[in-house]
Amino acid sequence: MPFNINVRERNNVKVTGNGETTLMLAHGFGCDQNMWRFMLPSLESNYKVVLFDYVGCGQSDISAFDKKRYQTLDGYVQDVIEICEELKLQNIVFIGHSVSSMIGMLAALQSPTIFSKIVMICPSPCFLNLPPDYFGGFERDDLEELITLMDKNYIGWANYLAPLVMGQSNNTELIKELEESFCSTDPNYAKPFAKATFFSDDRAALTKLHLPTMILQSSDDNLASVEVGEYIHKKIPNSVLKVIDSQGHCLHMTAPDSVLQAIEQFLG
Amino acid sequence: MITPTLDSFPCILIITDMQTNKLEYCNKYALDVLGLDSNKTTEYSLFDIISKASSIFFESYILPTIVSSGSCQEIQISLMLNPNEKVAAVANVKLVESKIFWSIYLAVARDKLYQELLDARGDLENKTEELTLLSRIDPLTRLLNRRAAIDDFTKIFNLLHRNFVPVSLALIDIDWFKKINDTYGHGRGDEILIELSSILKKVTRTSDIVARWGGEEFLVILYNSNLENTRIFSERLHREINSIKLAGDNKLSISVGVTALKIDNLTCSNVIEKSVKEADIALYEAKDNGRNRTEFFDDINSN
Repeated sequence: MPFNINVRERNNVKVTGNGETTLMLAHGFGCDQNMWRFMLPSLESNYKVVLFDYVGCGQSDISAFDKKRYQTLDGYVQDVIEICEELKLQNIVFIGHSVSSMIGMLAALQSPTIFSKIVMICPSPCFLNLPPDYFGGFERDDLEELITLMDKNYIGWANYLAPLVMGQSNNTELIKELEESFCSTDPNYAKPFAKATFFSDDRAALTKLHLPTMILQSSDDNLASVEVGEYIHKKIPNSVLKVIDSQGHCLHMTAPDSVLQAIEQFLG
Repeated sequence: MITPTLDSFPCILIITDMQTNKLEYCNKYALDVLGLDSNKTTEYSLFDIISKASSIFFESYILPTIVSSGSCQEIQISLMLNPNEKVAAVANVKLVESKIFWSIYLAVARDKLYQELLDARGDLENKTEELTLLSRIDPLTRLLNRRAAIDDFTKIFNLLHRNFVPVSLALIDIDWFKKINDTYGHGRGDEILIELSSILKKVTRTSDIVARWGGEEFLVILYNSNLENTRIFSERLHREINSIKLAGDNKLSISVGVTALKIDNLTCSNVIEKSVKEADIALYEAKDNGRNRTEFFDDINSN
């Protein structure tokens, strides 16, 4: 039952900061809006910032979780569009991490006036290898096993996490920080999001996106490779690609300063 | 007498380095099971012996956990016995300085049981969903039944406490339905119920509640709709319903009674009954005034 009664409450929407330009920060699978905390203080002083949790993540209203709605990325796309409608946001800048890059792109295609620019952090339009033209990095079997491992490691699920995350030689402090930001997510809500994330193929939508788009890819990320970043750049007509020298799949946590600098440059 | 060593234990014992992930120690059982070359032990990496999915799980869960709390128990991973053969295993992992100590047991049988449990849970969830759906749906019209309408209305109603938006109730009754059944047969009567239901679906939004309330009676709860919007809704509804032909020039018609949910009533324990009662009074008024029309409880009350 889609009772979209109070979108702000449903998606734990927070509006903070001051500035003429509005940024919407969208977290990826397994995270919530806390994942932006390293970048937030800087952003708040220059921009108006909209933060939220997708339904089923963080402090969202889980009673609004509809299995059918959230079994594909489209449900998450609707969350983004409805938040923009509720806050009457137009021509804002959308910044999405990982799967949220694709969610933002799909929202822009469905509702063309909400965004003026898009920043994609560690995006991948498809995690599967689909030879001969596309190598997302994983065989179907790998991804199915990953979802099964999440299922079978019940404890891991119970306070499931900032996903798929760190590179292999990141410093201990940061790894520890990450452990503290494990999100307590109920597997019932996390699993559909995991499936929607890992098994979507949004390559066909890339060429339809005409907004100025910046792709920030990590130089060493075993989930979204530099090659995947290059593929996206080639397909999105009005895009720039920046490879940031860092490890892992969470550039906004491992290299927040580089990400901030790139965003400032991109927004001019 | 055999001198017991770590090589004597039927358990995979390995040590890896936290920075390089290189294998630094490996007992004999591990060498045998994993098919490693004992002369090249230190050339192997952790990622050579666990699956790709397990590597991601290691980076995203195991590593942060052991860095933070020192150890991690009963973690299921997959070991690669050779490039093509994966087996389930359970690991206890401990971090000592920068070295990671692993004791790993194969868990093929346990995994099978787990898989069966997961499948059973999945089946149960699907069955529950199916049954829940069945218990909420009127089989003929596929609309919500009375119980589901009350459940959903209660949910809306609880949310209205926090954030009130206008809600209208429309009770709908088919005019001369008994006569229709007698004249055209019950089969045609059922068809009409189905046609009317699909019109109700068409003219409402997903946030509205549309239910078969009783025999030929329907309840529509319009969310975020004030009386003016509901007036427009009912005009359209009458037009659409009139398009259902009975025979010759005879058209189907309905009578509708509408009431608006009152904010003051939210505190009443029987607000649902009260609101439906109001709509029912308006419905009687519509019948009395010649049918094929909508009456509003609030208009009747103010007269």
